[in-house]
Amino acid sequence: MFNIPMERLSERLWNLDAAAHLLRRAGFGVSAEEIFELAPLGVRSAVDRVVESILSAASPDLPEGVQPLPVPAFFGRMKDLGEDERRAMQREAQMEARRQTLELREWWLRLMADPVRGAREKLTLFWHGHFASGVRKVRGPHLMLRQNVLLRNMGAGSFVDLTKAVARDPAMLVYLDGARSRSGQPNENFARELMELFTLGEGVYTEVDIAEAARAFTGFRVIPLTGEVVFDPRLHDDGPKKLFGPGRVRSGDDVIDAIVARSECAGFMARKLWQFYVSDVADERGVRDLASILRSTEFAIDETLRRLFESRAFYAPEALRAKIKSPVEWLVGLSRTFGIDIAGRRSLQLLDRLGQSLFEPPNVRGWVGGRSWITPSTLLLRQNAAVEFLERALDPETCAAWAGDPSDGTAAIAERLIFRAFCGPVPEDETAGLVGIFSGMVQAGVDSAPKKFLLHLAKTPRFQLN
Amino acid sequence: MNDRSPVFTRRHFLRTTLLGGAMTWTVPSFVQRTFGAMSASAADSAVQIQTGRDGRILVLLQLAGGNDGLNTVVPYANDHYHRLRPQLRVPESGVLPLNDEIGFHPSLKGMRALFDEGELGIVQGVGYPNPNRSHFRSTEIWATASDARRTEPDGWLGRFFDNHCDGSDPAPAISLTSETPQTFASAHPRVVSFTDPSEMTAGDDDEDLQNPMTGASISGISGGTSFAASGSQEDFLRRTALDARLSSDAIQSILARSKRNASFPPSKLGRDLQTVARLIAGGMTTRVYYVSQGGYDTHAGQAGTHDRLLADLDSAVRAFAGALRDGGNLDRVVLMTFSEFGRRVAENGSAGTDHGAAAPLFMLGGSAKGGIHGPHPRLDELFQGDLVHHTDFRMVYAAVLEEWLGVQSAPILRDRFQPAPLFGVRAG
Repeated sequence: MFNIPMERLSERLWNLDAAAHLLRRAGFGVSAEEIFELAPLGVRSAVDRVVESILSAASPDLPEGVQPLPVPAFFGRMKDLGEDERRAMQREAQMEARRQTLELREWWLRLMADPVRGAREKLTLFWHGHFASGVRKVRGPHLMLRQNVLLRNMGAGSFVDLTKAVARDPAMLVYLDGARSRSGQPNENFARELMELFTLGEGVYTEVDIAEAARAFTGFRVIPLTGEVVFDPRLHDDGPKKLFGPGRVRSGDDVIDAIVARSECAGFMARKLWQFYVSDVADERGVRDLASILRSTEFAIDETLRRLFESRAFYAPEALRAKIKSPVEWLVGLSRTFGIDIAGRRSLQLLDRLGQSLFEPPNVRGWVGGRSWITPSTLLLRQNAAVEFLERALDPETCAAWAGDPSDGTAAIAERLIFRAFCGPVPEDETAGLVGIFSGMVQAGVDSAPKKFLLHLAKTPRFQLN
Repeated sequence: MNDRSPVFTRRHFLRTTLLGGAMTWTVPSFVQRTFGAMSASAADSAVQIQTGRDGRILVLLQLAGGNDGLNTVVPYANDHYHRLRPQLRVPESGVLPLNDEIGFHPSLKGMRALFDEGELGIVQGVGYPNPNRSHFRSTEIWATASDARRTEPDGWLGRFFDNHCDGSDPAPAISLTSETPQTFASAHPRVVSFTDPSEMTAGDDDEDLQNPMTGASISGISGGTSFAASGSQEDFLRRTALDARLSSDAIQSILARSKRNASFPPSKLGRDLQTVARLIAGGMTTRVYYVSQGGYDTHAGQAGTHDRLLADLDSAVRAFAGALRDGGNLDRVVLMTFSEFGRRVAENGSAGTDHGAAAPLFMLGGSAKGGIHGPHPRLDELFQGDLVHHTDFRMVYAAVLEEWLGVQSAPILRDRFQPAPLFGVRAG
């Protein structure tokens, strides 16, 4: 138990360690320089700056090659085609979808690695895992792009507005079959996951609530060629629906309003935000306090994050380095911390194998996170890949510059490198052990010892923690 | 032991430098034991490890997403079926009849052959009271063997290993999944998860194992309680790092002893079952394997998808049975399928089916009795539109535990369940 209140951290407790923690959690790893820049500001100004960076980041240029696929346009002509021609066209369309998906993923990775966008993209990644949709079922990478833009544009605003927008987002309508749900025989998929995974959590609604909510969400269609959403009143069930016992609703928006009005919704969202930003293990008091902040801000995400980032609980000893980096955090962190470019095909393949393919979460629950990221094989992959990336991209002279003046002595040099690799200080006894390793390297006359030492640090268990 | 074995040499190094030192406590003992067995066998690779050759093996095959049991084992002679499934029904002409009431989906030709050979058992109407229609909650119920109204943290096989793997059993479980299934969750999980055996290759550089995080606990920074999540994350990572180093060599060297087999389909399931077959053939001492095939959540446009999934399942299972039989291992391996739930009997308006309840599962190999176990659930007595189970899944687990793994089921299932009569005495 943290057992630390959500009140603001006193300025006197703010220090380098706190600044580093804030930057690591709000974004994706940082350079040592950024930590030193933020630390003197104090908690209020530092958090202001981070939240401001979420709100003010300009809309990014969109990836040019991600466009509606030509496939549906073929359908009219396909009847006239022979089997072989049809196959060839389908294959071509599949390859194009695959190419676009890779472009989309690379584009997003680059945004995440951009220092001024880090916090905004981290929040967008939270929503991607929350309102999970996958490109394989959705089929159109351009629809996934559109959803990504939606999550970025609305992610810091009202959760209620965001949920209503997601309910008519074309990728979501395809992913959870809302686009094929019609009056009379509604499809329950979206209604069920909306309550179970997006807003309330399992077990606080009945099967009747799901069937009734499913009726309310009927009527949307997605135009195959353009991905435009149209609402067709003839497919919509306009009758009153019984929701949560005595309640009566009509539209999908009514359903969402009724859901958010239940006390479980704030608790559920608080738990998810806590596990994403604070600790893999939810702390009951922390979650309860965060839930009341969500209610008091009427689910304004920017204000909620500001209060969270300013809180004593956020900087609790139990929260420091308590989260296992997700594969994306690990990879983008490598890039940000060591200033190397990671947005290549090799990285995308690696993310697939590490279990976090962007735009293709494992299922509608998104990524479970925490310890589930780490298995013997994913840990080996991380270690081998970190060495591979850094070996190739790290310039020994840069490493030497990071190491600083040799006359400072091996301990001071090792500490600087440790601070850089781990984006902040680590406990003294651990530092001492690592300094010992570096001294050993220097004494043994190892060539480019600073670079070798950084490679070593990037392989440690510590490097997997945020 | 043979000190010249390259595997051994590196392990020996690890043990003397690490395991013998202050880090001994961080090494999962099963890994040490597995490795001990490996080294012993490396001395004469022509001789199978005793434990590997004698042990009974369980393979769990998860059909993730909720398989439509009704279109898998089809009640083709039932009018209600054809009425409730106007678009999705499998026409009588297409089914592979098993008797005059039910038949297999047309994709299941290989399973039909196994059924005819007496290797495949079909357990009908499996489920549990108060069925939950959430994927995740229902999967959790199956994984933990809990009551639908109770939440258990540990998995049923996690408890099996906790109760029966202290000391003598050298075998961990292997899960070919990107996340460790809750089925194996326990205070001391004995499962190694990986998705692709080629990923289990440790770099040559062992130096990072000597990194000095030995006694260093992050609680140094926190001054927090001994249950600080940060401290245990460190332990967890260190433990996994060591697991990875040790098990990667074991797995690679076992795989090196057994060839690939062209009869497996090139799908993920085909690859995974092939890996399991090769590990078994190579004498891996693992007692439980876990593989998963996804995609069964067919809310819309079910027909084509379901056909493909079952065809993949069919060819992978057929190849698996063939590979085991060729290696003389079929009698000591039982494969059991399961899915978190079946699907709604009536199709929905998008040519799909929503989440349902009871469904059939399959048992293959070992001393599992072939044939049909239990009646098809009634289609004229539905509950909330779903089939009603007559066999609690924990009766199936009880049978597997008692009749196959040879242990008392009540301590593991936390209750007494009558084992379903699914096993018989097998010659030899």
